[in-house]
Amino acid sequence: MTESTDNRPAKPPHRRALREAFSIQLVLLAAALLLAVVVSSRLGYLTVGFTDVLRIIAAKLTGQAALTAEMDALLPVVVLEVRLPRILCAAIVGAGLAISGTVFQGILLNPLADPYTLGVSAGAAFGASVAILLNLGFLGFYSVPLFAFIGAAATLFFVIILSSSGEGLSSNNLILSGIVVAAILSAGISFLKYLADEHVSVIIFWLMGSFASRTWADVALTAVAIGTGFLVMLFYARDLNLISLGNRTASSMGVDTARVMMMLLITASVIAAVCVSVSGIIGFVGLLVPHMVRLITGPDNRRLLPASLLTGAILLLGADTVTRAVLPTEIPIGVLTALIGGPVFCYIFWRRQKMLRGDAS
Amino acid sequence: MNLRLEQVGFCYGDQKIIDDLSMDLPPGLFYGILGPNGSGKTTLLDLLTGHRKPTDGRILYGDRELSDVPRKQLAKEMALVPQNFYVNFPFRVREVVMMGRYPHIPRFRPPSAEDDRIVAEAMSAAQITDYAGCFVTELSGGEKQRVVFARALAQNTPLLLLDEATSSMDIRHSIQVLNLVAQRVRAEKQTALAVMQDINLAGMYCEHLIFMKHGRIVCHGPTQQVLNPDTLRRVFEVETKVYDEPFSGSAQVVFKK
Repeated sequence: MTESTDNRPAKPPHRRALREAFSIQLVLLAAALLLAVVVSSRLGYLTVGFTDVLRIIAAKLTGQAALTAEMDALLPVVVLEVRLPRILCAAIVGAGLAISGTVFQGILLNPLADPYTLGVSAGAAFGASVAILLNLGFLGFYSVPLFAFIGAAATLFFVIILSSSGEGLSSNNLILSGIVVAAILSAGISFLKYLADEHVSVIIFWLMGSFASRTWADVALTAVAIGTGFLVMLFYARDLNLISLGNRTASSMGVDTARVMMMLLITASVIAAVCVSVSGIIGFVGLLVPHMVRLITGPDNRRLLPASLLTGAILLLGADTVTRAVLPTEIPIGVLTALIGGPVFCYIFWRRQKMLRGDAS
Repeated sequence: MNLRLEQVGFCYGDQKIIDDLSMDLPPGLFYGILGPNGSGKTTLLDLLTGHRKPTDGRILYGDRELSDVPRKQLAKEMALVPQNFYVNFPFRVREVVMMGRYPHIPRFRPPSAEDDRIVAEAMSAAQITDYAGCFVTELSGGEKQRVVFARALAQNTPLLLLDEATSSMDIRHSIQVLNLVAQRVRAEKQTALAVMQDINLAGMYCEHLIFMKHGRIVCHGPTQQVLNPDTLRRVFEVETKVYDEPFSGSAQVVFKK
């Protein structure tokens, strides 16, 4: 084996090229997302022309009613009040699940982690089931999402308490506590379903996830929660890189590991809880997207997080559009993502294994 | 800067890992820490980096208590090459070495040409320039250790802590890494503190040895004074012969079967 011992100068061109390539990737992803929003606004029971969609959106944004003057008066209502809230909700939830999954995989040092690893989904499902079963309608339409959120938050709190020791948080403890708590809650949910009798279908449908009849209020809520969470994650992205080298190394490099882990854990879990409470349980986005994106951007969280955000948004929006407008009957989005995501994950995993085997031989 | 330990103790639960340690570590020397498994060597390094806090006593860095020095600043003062190193994510070698610059680069600023130069120098010194674009997950144990060593070099600190940093390296790379550390200590008046298993390598490179057992210091002092059969019997419970070896120019140890 020959090794160079020469003092070759740094290779900044390489790094600059990398940064430029990354900027291009982000711009392309953002453009793809915008295109996906417009295209899916066209599709549905009523097909709206491409330019009409642009004019409806432009009219709304600029306040110039003249742009939509000669159109069927129904179209702007369909696009603005029915389709766009649902489309944006799906995109934002997709983004949220993807960045939440990225952060969970990062702090738990486990590529199998996803937004639901700590039992957040089971907690939310339990909360929602309780609300549905007891027919709690005091907050009208919002009581189920609210209960789901409370369930998720309480579960997170309990899991963190259960897994903390004097040493701070350890990823093995967190995963184990999450699995145990989720198992208990699942049994609880089964019991609630058993008690629910005629309500059981409502519970089942809620759990399978849906973006049907989302409103602008949902869009605003998720956008604020996920936008804020994303900024927090970006702030700690570099520390998260160091944490992936192990806590001891990270803390010798100036990272307050306990604090950073706690902040990121809470942020990622709150995002997951908000997503679940708005849309039900949608699996595989949070697991799959970080994996796919990591293949392209590499594991540096400063690149991984923004790219996952956009990719998650595009994918979930695409899936929701398929179930809403392409398939003859709407199937629950959670089922669809698992049906598509599962095989895709198998494929990626199989290819990676094949590649590794190929390298070894 | 001077490091001083004053009656430092550390308990893990009700188990005493470090017990009443007091010593002065003046700068500009290559220190070696020797002791049997489980004698508290790694915990001592953890206390020095601030990863763990002493449960008794205090550690002074210069005239300040170590726990009062902000972490970010400490990361510019000392770098650690940890014993175990695993990465679950496929970072490239260059990216890992660049992480050594993080304490010097503000959070949202890209690395400067100067950072690039330091990273290239560190990689060249650790002889990993050829792997710069490889995934660190695909390297062998010894190669990974050299990457981690380069990362610590890139951190560019006056104090370097090595926790069995050459344990997976072949002898050529071990010697090369230790030469590099010794040279930094001699030429640039830096300080190195190395936990080691190989007593002969310690005898060759370290100017000052610290022998630990059961969380206590058995003895410490200049290598020529403390490296003797009596110390080794007390610390490791093995029979040895220690002699001056002209080829390496240092005290060497042979063991009885």
